Amino acid sequence: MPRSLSNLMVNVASIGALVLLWYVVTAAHLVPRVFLPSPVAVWQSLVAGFTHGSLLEQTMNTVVAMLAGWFACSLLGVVVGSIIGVWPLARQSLAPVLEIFRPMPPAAVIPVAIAIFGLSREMSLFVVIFGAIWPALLATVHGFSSIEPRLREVGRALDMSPLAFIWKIALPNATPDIIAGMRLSMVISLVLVVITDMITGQLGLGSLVVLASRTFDMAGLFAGLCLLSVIGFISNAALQFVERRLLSYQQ
Amino acid sequence: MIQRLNFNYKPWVVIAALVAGWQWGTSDPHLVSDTLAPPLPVAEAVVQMIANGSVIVAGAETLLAALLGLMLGGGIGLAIGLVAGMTKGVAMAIRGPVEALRPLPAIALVPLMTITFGLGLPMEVYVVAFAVVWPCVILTQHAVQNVDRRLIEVADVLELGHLARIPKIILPAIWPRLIVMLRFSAAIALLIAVTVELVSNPWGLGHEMMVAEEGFQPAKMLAYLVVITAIGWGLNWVLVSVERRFAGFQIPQK
Repeated sequence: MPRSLSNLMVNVASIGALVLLWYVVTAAHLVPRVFLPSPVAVWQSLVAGFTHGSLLEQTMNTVVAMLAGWFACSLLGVVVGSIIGVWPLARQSLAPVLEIFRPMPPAAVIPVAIAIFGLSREMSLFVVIFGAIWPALLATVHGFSSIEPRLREVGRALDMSPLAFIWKIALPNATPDIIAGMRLSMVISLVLVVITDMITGQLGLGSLVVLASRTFDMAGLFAGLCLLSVIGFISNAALQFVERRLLSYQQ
Repeated sequence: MIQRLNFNYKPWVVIAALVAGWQWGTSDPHLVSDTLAPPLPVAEAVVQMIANGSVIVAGAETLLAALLGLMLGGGIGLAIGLVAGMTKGVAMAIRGPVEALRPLPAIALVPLMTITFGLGLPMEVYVVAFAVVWPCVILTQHAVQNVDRRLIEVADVLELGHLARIPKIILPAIWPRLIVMLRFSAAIALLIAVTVELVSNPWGLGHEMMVAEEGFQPAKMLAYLVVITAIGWGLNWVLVSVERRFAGFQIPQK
């Protein structure tokens, strides 16, 4: 405990030093204020946005869209990954096809999605699912393929149905891989939600950043960037915590 | 003969079924196709774009931006990672800022970079570099920290200074991991470059694709999607072969 506490203090101190450097640079007018607002202005913009602006709503929209997309693609990824993982025919025929789709930049699907769904929330959800499903899906397949062969034999000896095998043996074994994949999916979800927000102009942090830049509201722009960074940090830390909790029995 | 029997034909069946379904689903004459095109016109558009060179120009622009960004971000990341991996104090000092800045989606920086640098190549390069620098810092740092203790002891015995041990001990030891890092970050660089073009930068494949979408030319739009995927796939293939070839000399180590 004291070790993690001192780690935390070092982190806080180093981030504090970074913010202090930022303040000194802006206070000494080393960089034009048009490009880099002072941290104080950003803080004021954050406070103003949360107390009587729409910042809270925008943040919530982004977070909800991110979580919805992440949840859907994790569920879909684990289900499809399980099917591919236990069914040899599906693995032989689908795995190479998935390898073709995987290097496709997720954002490149956006024009196609706009053409099909228009500039709507469904479009955003579709893009997030399509782009962020790969880590969860491939991690599940990988987790299934690295199950101890003896466990497979146990399943066969107990006459388990494929469903029982997935639920009782394969999934618990693949959990570490799956959670690592889901963490990556979460990162990609956030990125894709921001990108679709920017393109469609729906109420969210992505469109906030674009609007702020168009009106030269640099404090607002940096406030949006800070919020995005905090969202990414918290979601990642939360999943890391869950990971440690779920996997504590393995140590 | 036996090899031909072992040939895994199943993925091709799936691909053929997908393409056939795509053809069947889009070739209905009653369907208005402002949005999607059947595979044949898409293939025609790909051939046409290669023949008149437009896709090569756009692809070169995208790849140039991705490559410059990769070099800039990878270089900075490698330098920071080396220093942080070798000195514990630096590693502790940068961890907080790295963890704070890393989750920031690089694309969200596009508006800021546009105001500061204007549209064009430099802006795209900086965004790509920002996206690439964090994984490079972390992977290099981990690689350096995992260098065999005995190699470090050799360096201590030889009384090598910090600067001398980087080219003589550290870099050869982490070389295979650096190649993996290169593959990983090259994929990110291409992805970010295309995305920046899609979002705003009037340059490269992503922009051409967006123009095709806005001009209701679905065949052309899908053709660009095919080309972008093919480039991503090709890049991955090239780097995997590089990895096999150049990381190989580490294997006889026992």
